[in-house]
Amino acid sequence: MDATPGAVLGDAPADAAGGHPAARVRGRRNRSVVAWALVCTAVLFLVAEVGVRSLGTLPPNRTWPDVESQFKAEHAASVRAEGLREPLVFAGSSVSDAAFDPERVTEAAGLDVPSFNYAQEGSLASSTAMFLDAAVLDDVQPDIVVMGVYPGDIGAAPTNAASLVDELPRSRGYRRATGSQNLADRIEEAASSRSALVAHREILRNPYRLAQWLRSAPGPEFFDADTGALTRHRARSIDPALASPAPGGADPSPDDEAIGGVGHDTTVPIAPQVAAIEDLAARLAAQDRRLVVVELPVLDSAWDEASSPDGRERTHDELVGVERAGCAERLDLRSEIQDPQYWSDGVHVNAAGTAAISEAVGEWLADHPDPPADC
Amino acid sequence: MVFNSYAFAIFLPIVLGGYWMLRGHRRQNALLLLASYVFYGAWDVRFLLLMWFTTGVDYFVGRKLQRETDDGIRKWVLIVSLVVNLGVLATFKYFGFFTDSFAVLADSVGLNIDPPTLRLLLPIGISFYTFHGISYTVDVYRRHIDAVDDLPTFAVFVSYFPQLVAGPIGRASVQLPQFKNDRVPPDGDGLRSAVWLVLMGLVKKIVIADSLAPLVDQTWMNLEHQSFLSLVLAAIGFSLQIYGDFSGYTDIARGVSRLFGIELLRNFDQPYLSRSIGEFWRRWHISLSTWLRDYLYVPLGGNRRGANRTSFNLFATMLLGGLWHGAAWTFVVWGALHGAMLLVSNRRARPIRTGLRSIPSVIATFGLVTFAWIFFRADSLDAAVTFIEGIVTLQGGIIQWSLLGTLLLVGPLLFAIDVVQRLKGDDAFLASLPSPLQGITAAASVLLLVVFSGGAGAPFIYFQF
Repeated sequence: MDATPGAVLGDAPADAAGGHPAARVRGRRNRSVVAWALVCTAVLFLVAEVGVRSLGTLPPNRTWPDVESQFKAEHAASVRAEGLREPLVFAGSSVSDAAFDPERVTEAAGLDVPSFNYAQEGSLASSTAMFLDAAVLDDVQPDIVVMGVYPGDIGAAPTNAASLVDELPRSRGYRRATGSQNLADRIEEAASSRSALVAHREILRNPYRLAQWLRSAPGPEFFDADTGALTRHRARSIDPALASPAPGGADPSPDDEAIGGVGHDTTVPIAPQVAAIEDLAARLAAQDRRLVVVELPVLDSAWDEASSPDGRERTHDELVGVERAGCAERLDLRSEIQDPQYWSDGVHVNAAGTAAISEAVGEWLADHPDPPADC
Repeated sequence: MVFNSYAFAIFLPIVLGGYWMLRGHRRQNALLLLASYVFYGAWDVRFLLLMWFTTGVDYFVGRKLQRETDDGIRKWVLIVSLVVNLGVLATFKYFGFFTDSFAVLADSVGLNIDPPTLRLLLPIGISFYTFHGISYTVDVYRRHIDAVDDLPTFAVFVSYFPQLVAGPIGRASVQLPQFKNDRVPPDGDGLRSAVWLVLMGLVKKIVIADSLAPLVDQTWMNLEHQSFLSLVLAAIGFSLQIYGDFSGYTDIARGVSRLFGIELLRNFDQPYLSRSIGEFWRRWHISLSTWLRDYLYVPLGGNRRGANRTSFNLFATMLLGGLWHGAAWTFVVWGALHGAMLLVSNRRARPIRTGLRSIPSVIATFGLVTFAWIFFRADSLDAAVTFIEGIVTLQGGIIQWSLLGTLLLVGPLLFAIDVVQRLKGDDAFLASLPSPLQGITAAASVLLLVVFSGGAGAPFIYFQF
């Protein structure tokens, strides 16, 4: 190593006119360099392509902002590709994700239909509606959409889930689903369809993930691949002595890579979130589909009243308004399961809570087989 | 418009083709000026208004300084330029910081002050082009250079797009002569070295910086749940990320500029191979450190007024250098840390070891620099303290294996580039290799770029400054 740093001003000193000519390098003919570069590139890409293909099935690049959205969007696309439908689907944030187990709901409702939970951790009502529109409704053709709502989902309580609203429309998957691809998307898609190297480059550049995948292709870690329901809260139980949730409720779990860029304790305006539910209800009604809005319970004794005074009452009032404004039906479960045994934390239910909520929803659906007459 | 975008891939060949079809530097300057304004205006056309304002003021101040012989008047004219440039910077970049800090200070002594707020958009690259302007007027004032006598030439010096938004910070004495004279198209060697600079810059940005960025960000997102090992990895990861990001940008800027026959200042000289903090600052962001030396440290008295005053000057320069990066206390602390480390380093001056014996010094310097980056990266002082606490208390929690794997993959690559550059004594050493070796290296670089691109990407870090 040199004992002193090299020259500071460019590679060469200024000439008489004050210019800085490029450093002279030993003469090599550019044509020869370009020829070698082209040949080497072709050979290297061929070898790399064969190498990647020989690794077997690798996961495609992520095009949605988080793992869960990616998985669920792909699931919806596969339903369509197989020419199937899912007449009953669920939507919402992580609170709905934990609360609705489609298998239990259909069983309690006496329905023998395919069903899936499309709720996403880190979602607000507006991003839920966005995701349903872009990736779910056209693909799975549901008759009924059950959307869970707790105060944090509409901005009536602080939330950690404000980022998906921004990230979703910026994602390649969303642009593709909504037919608004840009030049880069088209190039990416064309290259991915021709080259395994491009189609799987996300895992190729992460040696740890690649090693994990090659050892045994992992399924989704925190939700059920068959039903889409969130599983991370099922085996947990809230400490009754604590009975006090993290402010804002839906605290991102430490082992979660799904929630990208969440802020803590963000408050979002309520009006756009409520409007998103109303719009969704109107669009579904126009297609002869039903939207059932479920007012999900929170554990009252653990609710952080200081951070969201009147949050629960406000949510209830807004959802009553949604019901009056359009064709959304409303199921009020706020007073259900007020015993700590049902809870993982103050807002997410555990396995017992999932069973109780799912059965309540199933029974309600059994009692309400048809949409309201005035809709 | 950023260098690693499709838009720039279309923009550059068009401008370059038109540029070399034009004869004479004046026409070429006009095209460069137009291209630079398109490049900059692509972010937000309103940003142009501010740039035009400071450009106009500095041009006329320069002309006045050239003609005026009365020292008193010249000093006042210079002050006008400084007030305008620093005033613009203070208003757009630091207003909120100063008023908020004042309100907090007032609150601590029991005064409840509601600070005024200005909803101003921070123009991208403002710190860079205002420093261009200041260097020009000060150099004309000192009669180190003659004032420019035509506005387009001066305007293109201020707004030249390869260096506009993230430097290197242009020095009028070096660059104005290049804009005032005819340029020679790069010959085969120059062309090849330019292309290599661009290619290496893209590798540093896309392969190294962009692959580390999301993993480092993820660690910073919930510090309380991270293990101390993850925190150490995130600190090292950010060190490499910011170097890959910024030096990658500079390499691309220099390569692109070389295609126009204009040489930019060299901004990095393998800084992470430094054996002391003093040496680090001779190798890191050289255009800023030399700017601060010439226009702040030396005017403050430099090392001419005794040891204590020298220490004060050095510390104040680093403190303001920290604040230059951003309007936050984290940057002030980062600058103060470097100031303190420089003072200690200067007082403990030892013979510099070379070769393999220098490795412990290189590692120690890298460790200190990495520690200081924690404050640079943190969103707040609290976050920085939480981060450091997690390391010191050997906090348990998540281990970011993906970050470790990626560091092991791209870290050696970055250091290998630096070590070879150091040994060869040339940034564009690849252009001197035998053709087959260049071919293989180019192919490997393109392969890496294909594999590592297409992700979320991350904006160049220094754009925010």
